[in-house]
Amino acid sequence: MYQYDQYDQNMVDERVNQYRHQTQRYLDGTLSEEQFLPLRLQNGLYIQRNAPMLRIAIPYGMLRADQLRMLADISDQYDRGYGHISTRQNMQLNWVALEQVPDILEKLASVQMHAIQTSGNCIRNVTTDQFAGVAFDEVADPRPWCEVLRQWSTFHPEFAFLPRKFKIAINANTDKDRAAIKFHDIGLQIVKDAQHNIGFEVWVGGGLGRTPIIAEKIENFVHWQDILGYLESVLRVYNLNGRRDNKYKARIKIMVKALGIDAFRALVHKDLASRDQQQLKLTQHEIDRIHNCFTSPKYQISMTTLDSLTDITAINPGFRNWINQNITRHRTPGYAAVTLALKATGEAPGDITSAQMKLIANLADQYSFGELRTTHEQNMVLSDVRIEDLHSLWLALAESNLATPNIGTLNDMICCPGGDFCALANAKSIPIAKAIQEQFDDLDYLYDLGDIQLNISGCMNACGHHHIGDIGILGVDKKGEEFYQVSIGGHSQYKGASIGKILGPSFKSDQVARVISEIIDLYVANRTPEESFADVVIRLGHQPFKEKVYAKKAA
Amino acid sequence: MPKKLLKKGELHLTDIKTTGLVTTPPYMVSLEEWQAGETYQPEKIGVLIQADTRIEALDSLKPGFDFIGIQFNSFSDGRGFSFASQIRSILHFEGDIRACGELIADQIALLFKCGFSSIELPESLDEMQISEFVTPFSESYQSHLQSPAPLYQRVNR
Repeated sequence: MYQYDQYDQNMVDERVNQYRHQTQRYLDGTLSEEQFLPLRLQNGLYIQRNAPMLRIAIPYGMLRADQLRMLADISDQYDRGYGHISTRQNMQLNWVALEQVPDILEKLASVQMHAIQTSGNCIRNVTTDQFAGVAFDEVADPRPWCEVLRQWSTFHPEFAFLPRKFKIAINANTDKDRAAIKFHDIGLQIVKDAQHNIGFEVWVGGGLGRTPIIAEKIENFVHWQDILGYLESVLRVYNLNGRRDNKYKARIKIMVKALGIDAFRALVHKDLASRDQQQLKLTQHEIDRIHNCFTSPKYQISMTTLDSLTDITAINPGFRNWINQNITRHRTPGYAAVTLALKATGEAPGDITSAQMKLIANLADQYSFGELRTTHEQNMVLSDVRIEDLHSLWLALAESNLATPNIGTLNDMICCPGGDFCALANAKSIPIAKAIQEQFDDLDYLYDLGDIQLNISGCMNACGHHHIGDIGILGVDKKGEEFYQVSIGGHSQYKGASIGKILGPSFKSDQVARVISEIIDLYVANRTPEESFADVVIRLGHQPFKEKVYAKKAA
Repeated sequence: MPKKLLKKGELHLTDIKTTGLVTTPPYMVSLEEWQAGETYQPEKIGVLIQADTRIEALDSLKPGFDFIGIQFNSFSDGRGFSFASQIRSILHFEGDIRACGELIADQIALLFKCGFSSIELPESLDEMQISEFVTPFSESYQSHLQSPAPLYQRVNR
C-alpha cells in the first residue's frame, strides 16, 4: 500500500500544528463558534449528542497492521475502547474530548494517518472496492488512482469551502460495483480505450440523502493523464454555480438535475477549454511511483483450492458456513480474501473493540502480509490469506466474535450510528438492527434467503444508505415518537442501479422486525429457485408487499 | 470599518470604503459604477466585484483601476476562490486581486494560492499572528502562487 515520502509526512505533521493552533484559538475565545465550525469539520470533528465525535480517515479503506494497533491504542487512551467503521470506510471515535484531538492527530501522524477532510464542505475520503487489487474482473487496480485523488484533493485551496460536501468513488470491476459509484457526486469507472489506454468513464450528480438521485454519465472516456484537469473543471463549475441559499439543495446532484446533464457538460467543457491543458497533466513518472506502492505481495502460489478443506467443513458446520459466506475468490491461486463480520447479533453494526483491533492487526501480520481493509458495508477484510491458513484464522477469529458467518445475508446490514449517538438523527437505528438480527437468528434460513442487503438510516441524511438496500429502513420523527419507513427495491450495482420505493405509512419501532418478516415471507412464497429477493421485487412490483404488510393493520 | 490589509507578506493599516467617493485613498467602487464611466479622483481605485458575478462580465472591463476586489459576504462562501482563479487563468490578469469582506486568518494561505495578492483582514489581528497563517505548510500538492505546477510536476519524488 501507499507509503508516505517526506512531502506526505511533512503535510500531516504540519497539519497537526495547524489544528493544534486552531483548537487553542477556539478555546481561548479568539475563534468564534461559527469560525471554528468549518475548521473542526474539515478535521472530522463533530459535536454529537453525547460528546465530540472524531472521524479518522482510512483512505480508500486501506490500513496497515501497525496503523490499526495505533487506532486501538488511541481508542483505549482517548475514547472508550472501541471504534465504529463508517460507510465511507473511515473510523469514528464517539467519545473524544475536543481539547485532546490535537494529541490524537499527532499519534495518527506518527503512523501516516490523519483526519483531513473527513467532514465539512470539501472533497471527502475517496472510496473504492474493498477487494481492489485481488478481485477478478478488474480493469486495473483502482487504489493508485484513489491515492492520486487523495493527494490532489488534500488541502485543495480552491475547494475548501464548497456549497456542500463532495464525495468521489472509483470502481474498476466490470462485473460488480462494490463502491456504488452511481450514488456519488462523482463516480469514476476505470475503462480502457481501443488502444488499451487507461481512462475513466465519468458519472456525476448521484447521491443519497433526502433527495436520492442516480448519477448521469457525463463522459465516456477521460484519459488518465487528463483526469485531474477534468475533475478540477467539474469542481469549479460546481463551486461557482452550486446553490448556497439552501443546504438541502446545495449538492451537485441538484445542480445537475436542474440544468440537465448536457448543459452541465457544456459548462465543464467551457472551463476546460479556458485552462492550460498541460498544467495538471499527470506524469508517467508520478503514476509509476504510486503504482510501485501497490505491487502484489510475495505470494506463495499453490494449487490448493477451497475443495481441500472439505475434510474439515464436512464435520464442522460453523467453519463450513464461514467458508461459504465470508470468503471471496482471489485472483492468485492458493489465496482467498476473508471478510471479518462486524455484525455479530447484539453489537452495533460496524463497531469494533480495541481488543478486536489488536487481534485483527496481529492476524493481518500473521496471515495477510500485514495489511487489511475496511468496507463500506462496515466490515473488515484480510485480502491475502493462504487457503491452507483459513482454518487456523477462523479459529482465532471465532474466539473474538469476528467470524459471524453472515456476510451478504439479511443480517449483514449497513446501519448508521443513529439516535444513540448522532445529533442529526430522528430515530435510533442500532436497536432496530438488533431486533431484526434476533428475528432472523436461524442461519440456515438466512442462507436459504440468499443475498439480501438491508440498510438502516436514523434520518433522511441517509448515512445508512437505506435508499439502495434491497430493503431500506428510515427513521422518522412523528411528534417526538420514533417511527420507521420501509422501502424495497433499492440497488447500487452498476447495471440496474435503482432507488428503493417506500411501501407506505411508517411503523412503530416494535413493529419493524415483524414487517421485515412479512416481506421475507412473501418473497419466499413467490420465488422460483433461481430468483433473488431483488428479482422477485422487480417481477411482482410493490403492490403485493404493500398489501401484505398493511393487511393486519386494517383488520 | 477599519481593516488591515495583507499584501505581499506585509501588513498595512488601511481605511476602506466599499462604494462612492471618499477623500482618502484607496477606495473601491462597484463594477457597475466603474463601467458606467464616471471619472474618479484620486486615481488609486479598486473595482469591487460580487462573488456571484460571471467571468464574462469582466470581458470588457475598463482599464485604469488599481486593483480588483472580490467580495466575500461570508467566509464560508467559497465562490471567490474559484472566481479569482478564473481571473488569473482566463483573463490572464496580472494586477492586484484583493479578497474583501468577511474572511478569517486561516484562509490566508488558500487565498494566496488561488491568485489573490492582497487580503482584507479583521483589525484585531497583529503582524505576529499573521505570519503563522501565511505559510502553514512548507509544501502543497497543488500549484501555488510561486509555482504554477502541481507537486508531481515540480519535484522528483
